[in-house]
Amino acid sequence: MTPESRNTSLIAGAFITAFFVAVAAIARFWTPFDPGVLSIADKLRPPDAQHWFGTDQLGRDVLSMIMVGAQTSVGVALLSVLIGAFVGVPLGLLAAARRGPTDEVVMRGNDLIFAFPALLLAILITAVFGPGAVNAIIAIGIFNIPVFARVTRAGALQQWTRDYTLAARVAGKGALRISAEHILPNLAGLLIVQGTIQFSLGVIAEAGLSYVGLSAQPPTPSWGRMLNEAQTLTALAPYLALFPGFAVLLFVLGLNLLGEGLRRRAGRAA
Amino acid sequence: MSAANLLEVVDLNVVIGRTRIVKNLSLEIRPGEILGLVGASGSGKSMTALGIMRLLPERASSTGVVRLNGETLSSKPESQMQAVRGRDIGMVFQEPMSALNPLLRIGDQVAETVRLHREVSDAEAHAAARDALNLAGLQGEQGALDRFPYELSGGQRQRVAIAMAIVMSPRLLIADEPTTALDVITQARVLLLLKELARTRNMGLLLVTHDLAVLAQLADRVAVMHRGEIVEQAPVAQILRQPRDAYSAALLAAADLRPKRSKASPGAAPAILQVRGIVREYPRKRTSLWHRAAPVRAVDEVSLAVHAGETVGLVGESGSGKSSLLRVILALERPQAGRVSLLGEEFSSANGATLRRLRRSIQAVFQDPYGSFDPKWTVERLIGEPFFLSGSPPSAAERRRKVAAVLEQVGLSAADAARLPRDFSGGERQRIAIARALITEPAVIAFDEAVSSLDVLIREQVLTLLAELAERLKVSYLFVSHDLHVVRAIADRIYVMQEGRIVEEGNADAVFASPRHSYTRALIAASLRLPVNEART
Repeated sequence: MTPESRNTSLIAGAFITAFFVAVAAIARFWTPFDPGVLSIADKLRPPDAQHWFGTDQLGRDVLSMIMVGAQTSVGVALLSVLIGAFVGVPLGLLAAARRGPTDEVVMRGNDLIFAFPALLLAILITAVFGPGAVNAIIAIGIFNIPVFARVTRAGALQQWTRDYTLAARVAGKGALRISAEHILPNLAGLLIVQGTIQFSLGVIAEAGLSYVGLSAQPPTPSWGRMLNEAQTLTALAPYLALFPGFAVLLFVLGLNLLGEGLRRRAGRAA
Repeated sequence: MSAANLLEVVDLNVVIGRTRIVKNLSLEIRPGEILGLVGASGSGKSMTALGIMRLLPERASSTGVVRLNGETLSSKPESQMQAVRGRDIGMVFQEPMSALNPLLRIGDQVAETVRLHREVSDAEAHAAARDALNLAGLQGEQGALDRFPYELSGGQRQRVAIAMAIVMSPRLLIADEPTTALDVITQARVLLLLKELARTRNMGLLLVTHDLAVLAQLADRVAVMHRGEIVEQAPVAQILRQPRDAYSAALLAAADLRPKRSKASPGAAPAILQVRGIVREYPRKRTSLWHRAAPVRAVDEVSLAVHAGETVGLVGESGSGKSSLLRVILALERPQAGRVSLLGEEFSSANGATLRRLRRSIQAVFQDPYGSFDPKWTVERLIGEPFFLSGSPPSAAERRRKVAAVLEQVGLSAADAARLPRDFSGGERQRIAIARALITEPAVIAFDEAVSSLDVLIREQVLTLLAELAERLKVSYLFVSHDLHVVRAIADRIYVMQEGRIVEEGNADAVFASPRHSYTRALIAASLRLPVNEART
């Protein structure tokens, strides 16, 4: 292996992603301060040795809030990817295996969902069911369904042209069994790459939804709402916007690098 | 080194990583001469062709001197080399579809080559393109220029690729397996075209192939390549008559395709597989809202039979309906009319448990040794897949024992069971496919172009294995191929198929000796033979 073929984006992406996931996990058990406790006396402290990232207008520790925010972000994005994959992948496999009218119905249904921007869909859902993390997960998850269905269908159609599906049929296997035993395992790499990309889009979508107040509700901290609240105070306390902003930026960058690295590795193996 | 040589290659070496792909290779071509470069896949012949063009993959590096008309190409900078390619040296590749841009009309593609090398107007470029396409045997006047590659057949596409290669009247043409992807009749036409072009335009031709039969009627001289080295270089007649090198002799014997077994007497044994009046139609797209288009009839009332212990060949061009018929016979598709019975039981309309039970008696080997295995499955799991057909799957130990036994039957070792398909070469993969077909101990095995993508030496080995297995296991074969000579080497009886119908049927040797149908005669005439073949039989 030559030096330039070393997959730096995979290594960097995996490192950054692992870091944020670890932060989110730690935040479940421990944060420097309780992000729920207000301490007006300590409000708007710039970063110092005690509060590494400073405190907000209500005196809450920004580092602790970002750590818990990471938890919200990872949770919402991960669950929405899982919803998309668990519904979209079987739909894609079905469309590719059956072709004909089934394919038409599934894919046109996907087009219908695709026609709504994710944010609009989220506003629609939260307007009906009320804002909250769960509804944000559902909204982003629904947006992920057609993405997974399309990627799966395209990959599966290609696999179906290979002779080994014929061999499996000669061995008496039906379309369902062939999809599960042959097609899906061969799409795993493709789907993991797509899942990583959707994860990063989910992080952005969650930040966007919480920014407009449609995701996790106070007092649960979230990066988007922190940005929103910091907006009016940028002149007074710029670090309030900087830290959550950087968190979103770095996490999404890490996930994209990871996705790109995985894609390159899959391309080389093929 | 005479000045009369068009191409001189001196001590060409190609290295990929630490492997030497081409070793100290030297060859010359005179104007108007056809040099055949022959060798098994992996012998380095394609890398030689790419090395001459300086089109080697990035990982590869080369040393040595390449001279065209006394001009040294190997030291030219890339920018000058670009001018040489296409103008002085034309190249034709194996796969005609991937060599053409699917989004460009063929006239524009050929004209593009002209415009790259000469300052000409659109009209002039297109006129040159039309001339080249005419020369290549595609009538440019009849709107052929405006067609897209997908509208053309494989043979026509290869003609377009040839037109692109000759439009600048290059002094040298390099053709890398130009006819391997084509059926016999088209292959004969394309080879004739290449020969005429070399003769009439005094163009040197380097023809790279794995099949000596291709060169027998075409080349002036042949260079035999083995593991990166030229082991013998001689006039074609001499190589065919008396090859000096042992490897050339092996290639020659493999290209010869002698019958692999004594022929069984047909018709004596009971029919295992009986096909009666099969019709298979495929719907066409509607042309208007009101009229349903007439369906395409791929298989038109075909009847055939395979008897116990017999090998039956089914021959026809691509598009003759062989594959559609095979899918019906394997009960992968249902026919519009007709019946397939297997061991006296109705197979084509069977369902559920009956279908699974009957499937055990008919297995198949497909064409593409690379596509017919799930790349993620181990050999043991792949070969064991048809166990799914048996009502009570064998235990893990029993299964392992059976897979090992069948692997040894096809000439592989039991230790191969744990490996993945990517660890095997094309020929070994076809052995695995045969093992998979044998595991259920079927009465009939169907082969769909099972040796067409193998090079001659491997093809010879696989055919010999098949003949041996047929003797030993008393299994019947239905052997589908476009290559009459391959079928003749293995089959007892032959069916010839054209446009969905069986046009001729009979004993393999009888069909060969006195073909009755004009299409059979055309197929025999077009298929490539070694002159020695006739002398020996």
